[in-house]
Amino acid sequence: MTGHAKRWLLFAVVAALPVLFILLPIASFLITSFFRVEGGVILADPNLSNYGAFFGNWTYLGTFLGTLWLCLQVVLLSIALGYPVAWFIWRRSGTVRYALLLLAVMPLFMSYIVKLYTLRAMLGLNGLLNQMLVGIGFLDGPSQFFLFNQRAVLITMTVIYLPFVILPIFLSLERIPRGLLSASADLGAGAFDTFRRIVLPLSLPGTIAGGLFAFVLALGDFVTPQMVGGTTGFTIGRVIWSQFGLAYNWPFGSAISAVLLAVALLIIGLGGYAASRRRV
Amino acid sequence: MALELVGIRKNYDRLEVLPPLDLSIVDGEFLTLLGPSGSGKTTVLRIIGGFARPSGGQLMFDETDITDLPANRRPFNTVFQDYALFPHMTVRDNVGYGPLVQRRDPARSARLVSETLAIVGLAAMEQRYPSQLSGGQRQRVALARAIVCEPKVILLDEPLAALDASLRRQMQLFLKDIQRQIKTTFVFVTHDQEEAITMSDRIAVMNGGRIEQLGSPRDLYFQPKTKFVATFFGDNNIVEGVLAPGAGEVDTPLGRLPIDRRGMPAIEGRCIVAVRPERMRIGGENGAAIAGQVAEVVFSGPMTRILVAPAAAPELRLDVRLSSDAGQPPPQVGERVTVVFDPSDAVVVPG
Repeated sequence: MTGHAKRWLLFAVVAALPVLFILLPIASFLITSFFRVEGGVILADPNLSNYGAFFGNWTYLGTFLGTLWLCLQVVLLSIALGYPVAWFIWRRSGTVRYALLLLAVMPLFMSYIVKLYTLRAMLGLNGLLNQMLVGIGFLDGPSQFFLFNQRAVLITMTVIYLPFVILPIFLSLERIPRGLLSASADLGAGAFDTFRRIVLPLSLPGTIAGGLFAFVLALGDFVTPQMVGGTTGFTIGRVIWSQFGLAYNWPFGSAISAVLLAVALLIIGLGGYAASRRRV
Repeated sequence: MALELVGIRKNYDRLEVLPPLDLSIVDGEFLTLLGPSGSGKTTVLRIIGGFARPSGGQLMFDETDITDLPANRRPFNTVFQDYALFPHMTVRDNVGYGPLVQRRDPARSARLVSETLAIVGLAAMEQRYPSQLSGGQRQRVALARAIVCEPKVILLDEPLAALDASLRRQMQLFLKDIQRQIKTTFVFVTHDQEEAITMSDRIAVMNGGRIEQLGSPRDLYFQPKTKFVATFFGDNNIVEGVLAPGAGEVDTPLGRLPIDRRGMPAIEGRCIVAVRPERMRIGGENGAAIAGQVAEVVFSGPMTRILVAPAAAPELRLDVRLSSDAGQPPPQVGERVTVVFDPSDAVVVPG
């Protein structure tokens, strides 16, 4: 066998796994999205009616846009909370720093379902949050404000995806040479100027990456809305899930998934472009 | 007197890296802190710049105590060893950073930035990013970024270490030229003695946290006061010996060598005799003579280096430099010769 052929064989072996487990399933649901269902049977009869139904019906499109808006809120909220935490950890030194970092990413090692139930318990009528707010006299009695609505989905997703935001922000802060901070101080900048003009721009790629993680994870999450969303916390993930699980309309579910995938790829592409435009 | 270090010292926990040190830096001079790594030279620079707190002592600037002033409020600027240019800013924004964060008048600052970029020869590159520049150009940006702030003192931490030899020589002359133009005090840290000699008005030779000797390059080269300075600065012929009180001769393994005690500190007992290679001759009269055999002849352009094994101690080598165009051909390897030097060219320091 020639060296050329050997290289191709090696490439084929390496490529087999992702093709088999990633590309083929995606191709399969893309193809399914052009089929239609009649009497509970999927008919291989290529047409665009699923896409027409999605874009032509405000119930679906509205839910989809609402979900995008929800995900954007999750991103902004988790960055607003995660950036200061990452910054705080970064400013520590030695063992304290890595102990704190470990604590911050610890939730990643816990079961997603356990975290959901814990949050549901905390946000509920007799939950920790209500008891605290009543305890400090902020509320007269327990409130339904925090559970089984869109707000609950937002809070829960933010809490669950926070470690995914903290970690890349911390890593991008970690990559800033300390010498740049010395140089900034040397040139007369105070702590705020150094943060605004040096630290923040240089940690932006990591912040964008963290935001993308949160966005994409939130976009595909259908369990969280199911668990804490009640009737108003309806997201496109739940719609897709119901098309597959309840309505048995796989082609329509595939079509919505395809739109979701396209939007996710577009957002990732935009984020990657924005991050790469920073010269670091 | 511009900048004064009074009993400045530095400990890391129990470890003393800098015993109490006094140093006066004159307004407008080019002062070099020269020493091997671990000699404390960078620590001194970091303390002056405000990046390290001294464990004791005072830092005075124009009769004001600035020991506790943070780095961003000192009228000093630093050229860092790795340049520390801001990667997300253009050359122009890097240079304009100081005036910007110091809230200086924008119109005047813009003019000053342009002038400074012209001085360092980077006017055409002001829209480039640091990653698009060569090492020498980055060096110039770092320098421009410091001088545009019109500091009273510029601190340079081995700024030429990362450059190749020819570029380094070019930058040495360039730095010296800039310093003459802007008449600012430069405090320069290096471990390269040739660099120190080329650029400095005064050199402080540091070793183990102490200043071994402070003086002009000429003083340090021809009048070293310690063995460390005599060996650190350029090539030297060094031989250990014993000096009797008041005597005009030193007992060495090479025999009794006459010395000239005029202008020399009172030394007795164990000592070191040092003679520069270019102050030694092959043959001739008048002076101290050492018989030996030529061990090696090395032609190195303008000078020819002749290594002589003395007859009294054949394991030693005397280093003699002769001008290559002296008229007569250099001695051959194996030839018996007499190495001669003038006693007034011999430096004696305590051993």
